[in-house]
Amino acid sequence: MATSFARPKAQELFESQKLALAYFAVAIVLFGAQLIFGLIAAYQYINPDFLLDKLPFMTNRTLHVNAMIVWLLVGLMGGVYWFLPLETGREVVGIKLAKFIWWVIVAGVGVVVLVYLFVQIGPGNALTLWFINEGREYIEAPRWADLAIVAWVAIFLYNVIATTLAARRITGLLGVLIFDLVALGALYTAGMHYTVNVTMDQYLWWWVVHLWVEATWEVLVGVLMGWSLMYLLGTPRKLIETWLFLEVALVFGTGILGLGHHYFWIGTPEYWIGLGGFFSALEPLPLVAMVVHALYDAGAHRLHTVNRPALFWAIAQAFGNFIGAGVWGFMQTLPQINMYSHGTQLAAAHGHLAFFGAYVGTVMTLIYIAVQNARRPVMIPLDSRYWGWALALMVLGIVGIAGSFTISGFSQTMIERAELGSTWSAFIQSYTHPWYTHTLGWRYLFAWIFVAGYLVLVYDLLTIGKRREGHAA
Amino acid sequence: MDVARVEVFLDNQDEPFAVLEKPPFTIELDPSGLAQGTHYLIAVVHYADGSVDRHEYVFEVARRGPVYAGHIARAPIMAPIEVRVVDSVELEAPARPDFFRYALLPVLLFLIFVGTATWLAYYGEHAIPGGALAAAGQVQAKAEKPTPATPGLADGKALYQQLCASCHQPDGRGMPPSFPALAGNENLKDAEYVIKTVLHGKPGTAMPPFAAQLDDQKAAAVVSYIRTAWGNDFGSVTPEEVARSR
Repeated sequence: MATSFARPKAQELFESQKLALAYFAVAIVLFGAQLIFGLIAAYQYINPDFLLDKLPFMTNRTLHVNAMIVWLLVGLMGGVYWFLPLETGREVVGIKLAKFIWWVIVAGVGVVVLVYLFVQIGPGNALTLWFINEGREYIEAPRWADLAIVAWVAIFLYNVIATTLAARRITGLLGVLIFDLVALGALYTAGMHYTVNVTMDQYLWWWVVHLWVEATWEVLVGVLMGWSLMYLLGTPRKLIETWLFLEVALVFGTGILGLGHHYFWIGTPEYWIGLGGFFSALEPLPLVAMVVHALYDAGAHRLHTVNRPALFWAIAQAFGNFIGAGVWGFMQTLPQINMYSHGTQLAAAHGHLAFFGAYVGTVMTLIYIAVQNARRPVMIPLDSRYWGWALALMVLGIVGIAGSFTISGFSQTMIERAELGSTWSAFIQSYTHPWYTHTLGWRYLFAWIFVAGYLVLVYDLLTIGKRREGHAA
Repeated sequence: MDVARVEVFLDNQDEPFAVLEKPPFTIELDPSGLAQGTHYLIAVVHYADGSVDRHEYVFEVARRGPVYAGHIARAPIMAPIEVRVVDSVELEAPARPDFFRYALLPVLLFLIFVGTATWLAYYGEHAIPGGALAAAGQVQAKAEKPTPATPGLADGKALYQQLCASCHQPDGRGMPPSFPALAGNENLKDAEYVIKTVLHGKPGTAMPPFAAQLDDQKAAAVVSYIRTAWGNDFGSVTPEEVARSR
C-alpha cells in the first residue's frame, strides 16, 4: 500500500526542483567560460606572448580552474535540490533562504570573475587577501567569497536537515548526505588560514584540494549517482545503499591518509612517505567498486532505461572516474615514481581526466534527468540524435588533452628529472624536446574538439524532448 | 477534450487493475507483488465525446531475494495520465530521523569545525606582532610609525632578522659558498659597497635588491647593524649616505 505524500499537483515541479534548474543553467554557462579560458591557456602554451599584458597565463589558469570548481559544485548541489523533495516526498524547508543565498552566490561569482579579469593582482596585503585573490593555487577566491561559500553550504546543510526532520523520514542516502555536507562545509575553511610558513600553509591547503575535492565530493557523487541509478534503472534501494556504505567506507578509509601523497616533498615529516604511499595506492578501490556497481546494474537491465543520455553519461562517469582519478592517479602516487614526476604535466593529465570523469559525468547525468522532467509532456525514454555526438566529441577531446599532457609530462619526468637530474639545462632540454613541444599543438586541437562537443551538448540540452507535441486534451 | 474514465489493465488480464473516474489521473503502481521481468500496463482512456485511446506502458521489475524495484522503461508521450512506481521504502513504515543523530550532531560538528577555523585564522594573523602579512615582509611601509631620526642598533637587528637572516643566518655566519658570511667579512669596510649591495642587490647571485622595501633610515639601520654586530667594528652609516647611493 502506497503512502500518499504531499505531492504537488500532477506534473508540476517542486520549488526546489525549479531552483535546481537555475543551478544547472548557471553551471552550463560557467562550463562554457571555463572552456574559453582553457582554450586561451592551451594557445598561450604555443604562443606565450598571446594576451600577455591583458590576461597572463597565471591569471587565465586561475579563471580556468576556479570556474570549473564552482560550476561542478553548483551542478552537484543542484542535483541534491533536484532529488531531495523526491526522496523526502515534500517541498524543501527553507527554500526561500536557499533561493536568496543562490542569487547572492551568482552575483558574488560575477564580481569575483570581474575582479580576476580586470584587477588581477594587488599589493599583497590584507586588502588583496580579502578582496582580490588569496594567492593559493587552485583556490584563489578572495576571503569574502570564501566566507560566502561557507555560508552557502551551511544553508544547504540546514535545508537538508530541516527537510529530513519535517518529512519524518530518514534513509541511508540522506544520512550519508547530511554528514558529508558537514565535511563539505568544514573542510573548505582549511584553505583560509594565512601562515608565514609555506609548509604549514600547504599542509592545510591540501586538505581542501585533496580531502574536500577527492573525499567529500566523491561521497556526494556516490549519493547523487545512487539516486540517479534508482531513477534510470530502477535499481533496488537496498542494493544502492549497501554499495554506498561500502564506497563511503573505502573512500574515507583510503582517502584520509591517502592525503599523504601530497606530503611527500613539502617539508612534512618523512613518515608521510610510507603512510601516503600505502594508503594512496589503495585509493582506486572505491572507484573500482563504483564501476562494478554501475555496470552490474546497467547490464542487469540490458541498458533499458528511461533516459538514454543520462545513463550513458553515468556509464562514462563510472569509467572516467576509475581511469582518470584511479589509474592516472595511481600512475604517479607511489613515492618512488612521484619523486621524479611531481609537479610535471602528469599532474595536469590526471586533473583533466579525473575532473571530467568523476564530476562532469555526474553533473551531465543530473542535468539530463532534470531536463527530461522539466519539459511537458515528459518523454520516456528520453532520446535524441545529438547527445551521443556531444558525449563522443567531449570524451575524444578530453582523452586527447589528457593524452598530450601525459606525453609531455613523461618527457619532463624522464628527461628533466630522471636522466639529467633536475638541473637548469635539463629543464631547458625537456621543454625543447619534441615530445614536449609537439604535444602543445595536439592539446590545442583536442581542446577545439572538446569545445565542439560542448556546443552540441548545449544545443541538445535546449532541444531534447521538445519536438513532439502532446495530445490536444 | 475531457477525460471521462481511465481503465488500467496489467499484463493482458481481463479485469482492470484500476479504474479512475475523476482527476487526478495518477496511478500508483506497487511492484512488490510482481514477478521479475518485463510487464505491460495498458491504460484505456475514455473521453467525454465517446472516443477511446489506448496507451501502453512497459515497465520492468528487478528482484534479488527479498529486495525488489520496478521502473518504467517506456511511456507513451501523449497519455493524459501519470503512472508512478512506488519505491519499496515508501511501503515500509518510514524510519523517523533521530533528532540528536541527524540534526544536533551534524550542526554541532559543523559549528565546531568552523569555529576552530575562525580561531586559527585570527590567531594565525595576530600571533606575530604587526600581523603575519607584515612579518612576511610584503607590506609597504605606508602606515607605519615614523622611525627615530638616528636609527638605533635594535631597529637594524629586527630588520636583519626579517629580511637577511634566512640566508646570511642570525649569527651572520652565512652559508658559504652561496650566501657569504657577514661576521668578520673584510668587504664590509667599504660602507658605500655595503649600502649599494643592500639597495641594488648583486646581479648574477642570490642577493636581491631591497631599495623598494627599505627607506633611507631603515637601510642605514640594517647596514649599521651588519657593520657593528657579531664582533664587526666597521662603524655606523647615516641615512644621508644611503640617499647618496640610491
